Amino acid sequence: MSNVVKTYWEWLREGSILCMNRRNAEYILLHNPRAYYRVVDEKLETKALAEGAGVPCPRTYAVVRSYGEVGEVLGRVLREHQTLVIKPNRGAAGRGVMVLEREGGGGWRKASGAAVSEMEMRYHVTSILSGLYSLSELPDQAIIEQRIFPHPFFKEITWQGTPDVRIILYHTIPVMAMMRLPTRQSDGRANLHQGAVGLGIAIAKGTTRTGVCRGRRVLTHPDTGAPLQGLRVPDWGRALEISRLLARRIPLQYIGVDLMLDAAHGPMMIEANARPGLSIQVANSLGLRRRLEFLQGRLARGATPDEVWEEFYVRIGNDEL
Amino acid sequence: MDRPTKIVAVTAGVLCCVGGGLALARYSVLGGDLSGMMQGARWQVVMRVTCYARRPAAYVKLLVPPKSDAQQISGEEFHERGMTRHQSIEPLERNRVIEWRAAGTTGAKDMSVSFYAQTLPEKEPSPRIGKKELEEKVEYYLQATDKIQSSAPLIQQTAQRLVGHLTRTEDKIDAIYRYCAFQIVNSVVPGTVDAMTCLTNGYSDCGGKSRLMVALLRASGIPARVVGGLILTEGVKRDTHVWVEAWDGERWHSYCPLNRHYRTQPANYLLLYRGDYPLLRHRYMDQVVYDFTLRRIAAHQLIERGETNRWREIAAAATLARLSPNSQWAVKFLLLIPLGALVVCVMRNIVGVPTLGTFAPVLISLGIHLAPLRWGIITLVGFLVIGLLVRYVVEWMKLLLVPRLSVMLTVVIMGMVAMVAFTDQFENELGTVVGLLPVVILTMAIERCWLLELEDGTVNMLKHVLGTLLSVVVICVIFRMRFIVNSLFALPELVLVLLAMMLVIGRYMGFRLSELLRFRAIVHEQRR
Repeated sequence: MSNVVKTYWEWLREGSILCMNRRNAEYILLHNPRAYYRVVDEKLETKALAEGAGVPCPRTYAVVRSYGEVGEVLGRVLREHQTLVIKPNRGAAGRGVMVLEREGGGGWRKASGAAVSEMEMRYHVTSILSGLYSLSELPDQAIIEQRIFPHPFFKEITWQGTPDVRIILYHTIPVMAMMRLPTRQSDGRANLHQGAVGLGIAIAKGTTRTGVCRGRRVLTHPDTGAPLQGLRVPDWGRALEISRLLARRIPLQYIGVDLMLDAAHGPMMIEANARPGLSIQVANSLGLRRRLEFLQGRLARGATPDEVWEEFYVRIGNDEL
Repeated sequence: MDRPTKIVAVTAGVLCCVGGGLALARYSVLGGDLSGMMQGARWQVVMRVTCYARRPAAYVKLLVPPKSDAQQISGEEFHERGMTRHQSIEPLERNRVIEWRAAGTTGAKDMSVSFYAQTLPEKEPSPRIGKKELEEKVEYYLQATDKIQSSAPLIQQTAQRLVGHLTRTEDKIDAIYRYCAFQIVNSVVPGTVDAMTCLTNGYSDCGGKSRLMVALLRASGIPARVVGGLILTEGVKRDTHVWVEAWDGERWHSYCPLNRHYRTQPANYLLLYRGDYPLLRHRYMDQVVYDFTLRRIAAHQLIERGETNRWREIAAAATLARLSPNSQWAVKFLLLIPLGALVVCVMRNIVGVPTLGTFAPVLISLGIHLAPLRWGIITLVGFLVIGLLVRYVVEWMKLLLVPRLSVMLTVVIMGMVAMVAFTDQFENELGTVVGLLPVVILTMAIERCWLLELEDGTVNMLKHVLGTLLSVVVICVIFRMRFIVNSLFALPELVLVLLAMMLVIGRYMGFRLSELLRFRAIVHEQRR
């Protein structure tokens, strides 16, 4: 018992872990001006920025802006495409995302295999419009866009659903990264709360580190049993590049960028987040605070983000941070 | 230390010094008695009687207010013309009686008594008295009288019906109070109404309702008595008021079935006498007319009278107890909110408990803190469960957001009405809890529960529900600490100290307790 207390005490004193209060006060409140939140809170805005910066992202098929056009727009998109994703413009944490594909008989089903009627899709779109999944429950718009097919890399380490990659950037410098792997428990969703696996990624090496599921360390995927550590992430260099390209266009200095690795098109930007969560530390078994303070120190001395990134890249490559 | 932290440190320090210093200074100037600061307004009361003595043996007997911890009476002065005055104390009820005798002359007489009265509602209305002392009188307080017919079959049957199934004295008193306060209609009735008339009519004024309540209590074996006095309002009036005192086994407590005051004597009630007596008795007198002149005394008048000094008045000036009872109630309620908000700050930022909506626990606690905690929690959980069930049913209908919320709100309201109606028969406190619950907040909480369950899983939803319940319990417990609440009321500048504490928490950048658990995987890793 005293041993546990001692460990905790040392850990608290060492202070390499970033906690919620400090993240809010020192990073979000200080570096992310509220006025620019909409740039990341609204996916349409983020996508417009991304396209301007040459960052690939899923093609937008249509945007539903009012109740009146739900039937017409949805009907048109359903006629033209075989697979699609319906998501809220102002959603968060993957809320309200419906992934659809055409069945043999012409009907539609969700990624999980459940059949979906057009009426249910319409209800889903109107729920999105009414703001059910929207941040701060404001009325919203629904985006209908291209569906991502996960890279074959994920085949063994994912149970249904689409895994994604989260990179946290501070002043355009990637600080920490992880991937979120859907499990049976998470019902095929890449949501850590629901039991998806968080798998840390060594940024410099581009290989996977340690995994965590529901707060417990995991070495293999809970459903497929495939080992998780030491895997080389495909297109990792490109993933880092597009996250940095996007971060340069976003006027917020502490963000999380979510990417998906498409089988055909490589990494694609899905959304950015002004309040990225802290579980990434557990997934990596590493604290954010030491890394962030290192970057802060270098930037305060007048170094440019690119110079700092080069030094940081080397340092984390040598496991110094 | 960075700049925001410095600003917070300085501001919090100043607020603490100003708020705490002011409170301490006032506390010491006012003699370190918190209840002294809770005192109500000071009133000047003049009771005037005019009459015509037909015979030399004529007399007038008037009951004047007893002095006690709960009401301070001072500066008593008597005036009379052509009368002699005798003061005595009744052996049984310890009422103070002033008897004016015509002193062998006939003709027009007038007499008056004036005094200053101050009620101290926070004091126990009557001192704890020994069982032995009551035992001597218990027979008396259980007796049937002409107007309190506690042995009449109808009264006995009604009492049996109301309290037959109850065991605790408190519950019995509660049930009888509710019957008299809510089932008997308030109405102006000429003359004196006895208990039986009140029961058969189903309506009455304060006298009938109070006598009926006493009769039912006595029929249930609970010592009780009618008491009389004045409701303190500015002006000239002729009306007195009567209410009830019941013995709960330890103390006498006041109940007013007319104005619905439960187990408390409000600050605007001045007690004049105990027992079912007329205020004024006379013999061989004609054209007896009496009235009361009531006047609120301003602070400067007290200083002129030498009853207080300037410092005390300045120190007492900010006492919210000087407000009218309704405003007092409102202010007491409002002051609880910053206290609750501070608890939420601690729960969220230091303990790290998730809740459904930031201030929902405060609003829910405001609604339920007056009732027993278990009933509050049962009601709350009941609503969440029923609400969630309804939410699942509503989901099948695929309704738009606002109509869906409206439907749920309406169903929740229907549930509340049903609950009030159902529990009303059992005369317990559920009705009062339900009535004060913040319905809209609850409906939103149900919707949030449902979304959390759907989006982040049942475990996460339960965490939020349990976090909310825990916060509600903590806040309720603090709301029920009379010392804290009374301090805030008597020394409202303490809110500045609360503000300082919130500022400090606002710059607390350490770990939340729950994060020790959240990051345990990393800690264990490092241990290895």
